Amino acid sequence: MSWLLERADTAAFCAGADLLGGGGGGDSDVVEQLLDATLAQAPVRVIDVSELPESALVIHAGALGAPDVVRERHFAPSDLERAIQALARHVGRTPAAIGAIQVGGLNAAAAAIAAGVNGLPLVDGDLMGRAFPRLVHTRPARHGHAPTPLALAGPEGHLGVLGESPQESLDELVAGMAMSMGGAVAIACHAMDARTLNSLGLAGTIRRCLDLGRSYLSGRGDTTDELLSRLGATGVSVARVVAGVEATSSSPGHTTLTRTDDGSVVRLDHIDEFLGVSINGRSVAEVPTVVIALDGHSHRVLHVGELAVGHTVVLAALRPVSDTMLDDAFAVGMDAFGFDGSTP
Amino acid sequence: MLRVGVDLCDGVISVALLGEPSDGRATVAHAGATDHFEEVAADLAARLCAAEDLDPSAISSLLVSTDQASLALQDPGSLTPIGLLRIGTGPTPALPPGAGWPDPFKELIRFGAAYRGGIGYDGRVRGLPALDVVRRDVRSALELGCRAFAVSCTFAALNPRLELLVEETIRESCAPAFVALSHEVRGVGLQDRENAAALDAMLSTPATRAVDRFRRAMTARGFNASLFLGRGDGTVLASESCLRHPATTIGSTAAAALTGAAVSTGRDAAIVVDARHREISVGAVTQARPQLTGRTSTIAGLRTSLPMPELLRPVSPGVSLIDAIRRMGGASAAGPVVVLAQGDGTASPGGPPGALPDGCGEGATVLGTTTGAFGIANSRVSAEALRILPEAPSAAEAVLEEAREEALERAIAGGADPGRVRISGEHHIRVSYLPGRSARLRVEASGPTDRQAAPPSSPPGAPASAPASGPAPATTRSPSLGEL
Repeated sequence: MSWLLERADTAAFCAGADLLGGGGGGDSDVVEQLLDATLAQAPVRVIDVSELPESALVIHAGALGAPDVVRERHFAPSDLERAIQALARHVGRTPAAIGAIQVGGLNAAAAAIAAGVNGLPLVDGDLMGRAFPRLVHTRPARHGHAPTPLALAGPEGHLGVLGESPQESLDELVAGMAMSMGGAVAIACHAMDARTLNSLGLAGTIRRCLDLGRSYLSGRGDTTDELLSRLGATGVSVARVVAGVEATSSSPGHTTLTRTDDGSVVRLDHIDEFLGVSINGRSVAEVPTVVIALDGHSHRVLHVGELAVGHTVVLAALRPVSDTMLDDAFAVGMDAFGFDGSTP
Repeated sequence: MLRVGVDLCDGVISVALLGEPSDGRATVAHAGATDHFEEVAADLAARLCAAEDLDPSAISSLLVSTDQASLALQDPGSLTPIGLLRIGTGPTPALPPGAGWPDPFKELIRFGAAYRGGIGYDGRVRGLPALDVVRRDVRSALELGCRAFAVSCTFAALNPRLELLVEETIRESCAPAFVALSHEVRGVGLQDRENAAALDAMLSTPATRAVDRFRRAMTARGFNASLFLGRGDGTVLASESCLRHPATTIGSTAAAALTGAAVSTGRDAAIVVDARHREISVGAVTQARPQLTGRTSTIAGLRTSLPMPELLRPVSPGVSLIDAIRRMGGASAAGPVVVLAQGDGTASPGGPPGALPDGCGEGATVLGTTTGAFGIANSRVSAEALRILPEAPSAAEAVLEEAREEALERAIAGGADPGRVRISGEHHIRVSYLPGRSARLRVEASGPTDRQAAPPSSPPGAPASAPASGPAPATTRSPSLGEL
């Protein structure tokens, strides 16, 4: 059943995506304004992938690179258009719909903008169910369907197509290209037919993102307990930040907190997103579960790097937007981030 | 080596006179609402000096926190029409300059333009703006009545060169124009900095007038001290520098109150309930400084990069005072709670508006109206420098040293005592989703005002236990620090 993503949904949709970013995925403020402008022109039709013919082409689109760069050099919807068209030319087919690479962070809105500027429907689903840092973290990629060929379009006019790459070096190669293009680019990837997407994508996550955002916005002014109840969050700790260690290229970062109720020691592991929470050494939540941090005062969604010593924050785990995220044998876990001793 | 702190908040004027730590004398006074606050403040300061048998010329620093900028934003007719020039996006940017500005401020942006070029994330110039086009646009803007300009550029905080180039171009056509540059506003986020710079430009005329009036009033009573203005982050800046950024004074009264609460109680961390005014707010002190909003704040409906105290207003729908205190980290009042009440620290005429619920007020420390004046008088000058850290350790060390020097220089330029300014913070902020050790470096330097005494002084009569009662005298002679 298709439905319309309308201008009135912008704030809630982006709020939901911010939560599903799990501390990463980028600050959605700039793309929220762009989405607002896009939806002011016309709503975007959101469809279930099963509504498409099995052979219909779906191209996934979004932004890649540093969100800090997006905040400085604003994302251009026309770059999304260029990347999608370049990939379509490369594969020799016209897309029937646009898909979201990830529903967490600014890429949820970016996908909706891509659908809007291309006049195509948006598939109600995504490839991660949250935000993850690498292209090889998409569910299709972990099932052997490479993100390539892919196209990158930069804000200074660059346009590049990458035909194929070994999976183990794909993200490094693409990140290098993005840096050369200015640090953040529009990407079109995972050009796949609807049948394959239907078997591998995470269905219904766009709708759930919107619903989550609505719950957040309507409950943000409530008490912390009431808000978290609305969000269906579990494993809640209200804690004060004691110390923090930034992630490096060779090791994840972590933040140490103490719970305000019983003084328990809380450890929050992170790299680009919050990855896991432990209390007194016992793990209570870890990826692929989405771990969120809210400002204890304003209930603002916090990102990695925003947890300042002395501040009170609320940590919690969100209910997964798709059960498949957790049941899948290919799910992205802590070992994908170097917690098994490998390099993250 | 004496200083006077003046706090004007919600129509209430508080003045504090702080002396050498050796004698530790502090005296306070406050007065009600007036349209001529600078005259009243100057009178109060002069009376305090007279009570101490001091000549006003003996005062070395005047530190002022005021809500005048916030009030000016409520009177758009007093604001300056501006031109908004942005470097770093195409001529038809996705979000044009002025996008998202609400009425009536939008009408004050008489001219907006965007130019190609800009600075990259690594601080390098990615392209120069077409200066002939800028010249033409400046002439058009002036014809449209723009009397001030705000200039923004991508990653300008890492490299201000292009903003300075455009400023120079503006001055070719209009040398005395007020030009706000986004690189002088802290933070990452072009639009957030641009909005802050635009507010600076809009506030330029009313801010200059207000400071001139204050300076004249003080001079007329024999004061010739250095003037410092409080900022929303709890620091102060020499008035000449601060007048380039009048929007940074927004939130200064709340920040001064929080600083005052920390100084008065000697606490590094506390929950502060400000019940001095019509609307109760709850803030926090962390590491002896006001706890600030995240990397952005909202002013007049605009998202900006200006730091402001994080405040909860319990009158907001759904937020009770006790919940606000709990959210701020004072669960069940277990955390230290400081209440700022009407009166003079030991007095609360009629009780604080909206008396504290049971469980919140008991055991709380109660301070008076003058807490803000003590806070601003004890505030320090602060400045920062931003860099991208290179991967090579040797190069990183050189960049770190360069940033330290710049932060120190900027703090001294802002009025910090060159002999006592210090590096007060170094923050490495990893740049997410970029490979390698990409990190931003933010170095802060701070110090006392050039002739300010080193350790903070405390207000008189505080702390006192709640509940307090009795009328507040207009002027109170304080005990010495040794008596407290």
